[in-house]
Amino acid sequence: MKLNLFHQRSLFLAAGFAALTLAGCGSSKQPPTEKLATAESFINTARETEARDFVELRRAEDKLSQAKIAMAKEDYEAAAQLAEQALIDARLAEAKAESVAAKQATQDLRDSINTLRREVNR
Amino acid sequence: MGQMTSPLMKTAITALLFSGILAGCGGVPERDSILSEARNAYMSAKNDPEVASKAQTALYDAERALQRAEAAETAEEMQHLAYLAQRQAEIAQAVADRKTAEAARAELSEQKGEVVLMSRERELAEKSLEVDQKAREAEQARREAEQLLAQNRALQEQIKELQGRETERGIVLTLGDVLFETGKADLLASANNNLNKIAAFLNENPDRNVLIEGHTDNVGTDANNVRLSERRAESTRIALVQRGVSPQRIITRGFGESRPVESNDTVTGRQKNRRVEITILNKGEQLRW
Repeated sequence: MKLNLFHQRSLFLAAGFAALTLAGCGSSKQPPTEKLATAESFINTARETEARDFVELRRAEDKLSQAKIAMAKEDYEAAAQLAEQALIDARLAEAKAESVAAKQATQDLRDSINTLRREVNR
Repeated sequence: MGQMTSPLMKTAITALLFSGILAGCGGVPERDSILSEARNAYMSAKNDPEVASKAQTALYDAERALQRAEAAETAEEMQHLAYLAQRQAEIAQAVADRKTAEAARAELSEQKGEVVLMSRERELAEKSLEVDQKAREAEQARREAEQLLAQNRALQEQIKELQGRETERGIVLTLGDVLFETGKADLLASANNNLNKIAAFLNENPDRNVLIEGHTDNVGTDANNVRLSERRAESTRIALVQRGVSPQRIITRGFGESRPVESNDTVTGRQKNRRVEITILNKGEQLRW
């Protein structure tokens, strides 16, 4: 099928535009090594704390694995996003763990006061 | 037809393709539900007074994340940013929960301090009562001990006053010959002092009994001397009974001249032998010769 010049030019323009637009939609050519490193470090630290019991940390670990796979495939945009998600999941796990610990400590204190009160009123 | 599409058709397709690409780059988001989830999470956190007061920074981060999500240019980016925004809102919530628990703990800590104080005060009060009790008991014991000591001292004093000498059976006091009428058993007034003291002592120490022994010198017959010494002992006994000492506590005996304390060859010796010996027996000593 032969295209006449007009059509050729339109198609070329369209393709070029498309390429430009796609480029303008944030595709990154830089490997997000720092983002992955940050996420990995945070996850490793969190694993040593009570945060390890939270499902959010599992999600973080999964996402980090996925990010590494994306890196290997040179899909840097996906890798960056997965790394960011991994980090925030880990941070959420940590925040939840701290909250649970604080609540537990408060309850323990409440219990000890009640015990003490009972003794005093004996 | 030779060519599949007309030139018009081709332009139309191009235009469609173009707009389709543009639409994907920041027009109407494809997955609206994810963004509204994120919005809901944010609003719920914002409306929680605990979050608003205790997790302002985290809440602000959530807001910014949501704004970035709203401004996303592709569906993929929007999905990603909405995910981040939602997690951010959840973090704000968790931070607020933690701080609320910590604040409660601070308050409870104060309460505990008060209860601990009460507990200590009660312990102290109990201990204090114990201490008082012990002190009173100790004071009691001390007073009793003092009393006994005083009694003992008084006893010693009395013994000294009576000028008695201690023997293994008790205290021996001597009423000299001068206290009796010469050759008779009648006690003279000069004996009163001694008799009063002895009676007083005996009355204060009712657990001690008395032996009264009469003795003479060797002048005169044995029989007369025995009789005289017996009568003198008896006089003495009556004198003590008159002063309140129970007669059951006293036994008397006359030894006559059989137990001299000094040689009868001298005047002083004979005077010394003419005597009445009163033995105040120790506590527990049997009343017998």
